Amino acid sequence: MDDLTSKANLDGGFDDVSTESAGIFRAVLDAISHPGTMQNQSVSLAPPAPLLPTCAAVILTLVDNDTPLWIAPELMGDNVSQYLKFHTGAVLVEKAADAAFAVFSASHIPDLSQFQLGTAEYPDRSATMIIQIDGHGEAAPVSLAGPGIKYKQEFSVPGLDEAFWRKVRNNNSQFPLGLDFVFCLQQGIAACPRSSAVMIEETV
Amino acid sequence: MSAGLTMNGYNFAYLNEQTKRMIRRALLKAVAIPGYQVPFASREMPMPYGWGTGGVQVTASILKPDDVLKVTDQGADDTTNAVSIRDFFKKTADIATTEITQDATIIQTRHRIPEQELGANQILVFQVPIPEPMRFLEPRETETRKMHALEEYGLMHVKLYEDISRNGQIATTYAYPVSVEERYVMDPSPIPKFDNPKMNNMAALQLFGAGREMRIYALPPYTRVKSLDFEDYPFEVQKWDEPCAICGTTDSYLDEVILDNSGNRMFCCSDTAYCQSKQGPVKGAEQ
Repeated sequence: MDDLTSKANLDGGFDDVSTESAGIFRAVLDAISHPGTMQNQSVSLAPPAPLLPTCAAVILTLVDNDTPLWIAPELMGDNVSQYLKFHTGAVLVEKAADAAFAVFSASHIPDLSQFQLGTAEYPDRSATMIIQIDGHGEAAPVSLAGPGIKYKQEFSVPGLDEAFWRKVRNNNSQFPLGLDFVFCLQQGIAACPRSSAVMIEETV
Repeated sequence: MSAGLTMNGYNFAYLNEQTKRMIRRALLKAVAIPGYQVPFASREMPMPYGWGTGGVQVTASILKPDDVLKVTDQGADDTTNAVSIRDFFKKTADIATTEITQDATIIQTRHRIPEQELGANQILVFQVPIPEPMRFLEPRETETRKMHALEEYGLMHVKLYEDISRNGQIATTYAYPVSVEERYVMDPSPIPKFDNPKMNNMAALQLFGAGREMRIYALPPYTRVKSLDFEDYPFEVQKWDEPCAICGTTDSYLDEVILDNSGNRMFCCSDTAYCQSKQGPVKGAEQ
C-alpha cells in the first residue's frame, strides 16, 4: 500500500492542530522542565498500531520536514511509516546518526552511541529520543537531581531497567553534550533531559 | 472554520504551525541546556525589533487556549509595550489576560521580574535585546561561541574588575551577568541587578527570547543562578533610603520620578501590580 492519501492514513491526526499540539507541547515542556514527573495528558489521536497515541502526539507536535526521523524497525509497519510521512512530512532516515528525533520502544533500546550528541560549540545539534513505554518489564527505581528538580525526584518506568539508566547516567556525564529523553506512556508524558544526574537505587 | 483560527482568520497565536514547531524544538533544547543560547529562525513580527519580537514569538509558541497572560514593561502593566502585546494576543489567540501576577499562567516581561514570588505553575518569558553577555567585550560571534564552549569566562571577570578599579565598586547595575549551574555565563536580560537573586532557584520556568539576535535560552525551575562577583567585592543589590511614595513598601524596586522643574522627585514601585496590591483591596478609589 503505497498510496499516501488512502483514507487510513489521512485519519488519525489531530482534529485541530494548533490547539491540540499546543497542549501536547506544554506537557512535553512541563515534563522536561520537571524531569521525572508524569504529565498526564489525554490525546485524541488514533495512530496505527503499535504506535501509542501519546507517542504519536509528541511526534506530530515536534517533528516536520526540517527534522529527519529515525524509527526503530519494530515500530515501523507500513501503516506507521505512511502515517508519519503524511502527518509530519518528515524524512525517515535509516542511519541513526542522521536523525534529529529517534523513536523506539523500551523493550528494544537501540545502541544510543550512534545518535548525535551535539558539538561543544553547538550542543543543541543533538538528537532527541522519544521512547514508547508499553508497560511491560522491569522498572528500575532511580532518583534524578539537577535543574528542574528542587531536591531529588524518584522515578521509575516499566521496561526501563538498570542497564538503560546506566546509559542515561553516562549521557549526563557528557553535559552540555548529550541526548534528551522523552518517555511516552499510555496516560502521559515524562522526560529526562541531559542535565539530570541519575542515581540508580540499590536493588537487593 | 477550525477552532484554531481566530475571528480574523489568523492561526491560533499568530504564528503558523511550522514556525511554532521550530521554536518549540529550540525551547526544549534551551531547557535541557540551561543558560546556553539556542539559535532559532526568528520571524518578522508585526512590530519593530526592540519591542519584544523574541518574547512574543516564545509566548506565541507556548500559549494554550486556557492560559491567562500578563505582560509587563519595566514592571508596569499599563505602558505602551505591555498594552499592545496583551492586545495582540487577545486578538490573535482569544485568551484571557490579567494584571494580577498570581492569576497569570504566562507572564511576558520587559526588563523586570515581578516582586510577587512566582509559582511552579507559571512561566516567565523575558524579552531580550542582546543575549550574548560578552558581546560588548568581544564582538565576534565565532569567538564568543568558542568561549562558551571552552567555559572561558576570564574576560567577563576582567570587565567587572575594571569596574572596581575605575569606580571602587562593580558599577554594572542592570543586565548583570550570571553563572548558570556553574557552567554557562548568561545575560539575564536588562533587568536591574535587584532582580538577579530572584532567578536563583525560582519555582517558575524562565524562558528568554531575543528576536533580532535569533537566540532562545532558558532557566528550568530550581536552577542554581549565581551573579558573578569577587570574594572581596561580593554581589550586592540596589537599596533605597525611603519607602515607595505611593504604597509605602520597603522591599520592592523603586523608580525615580521627576515631579516638576525645581528638582522635586519621588520614588515609587516599578511593579505596578505589586504596588496596587500593597495599597489594599480598593482599586483606583482615589482621584
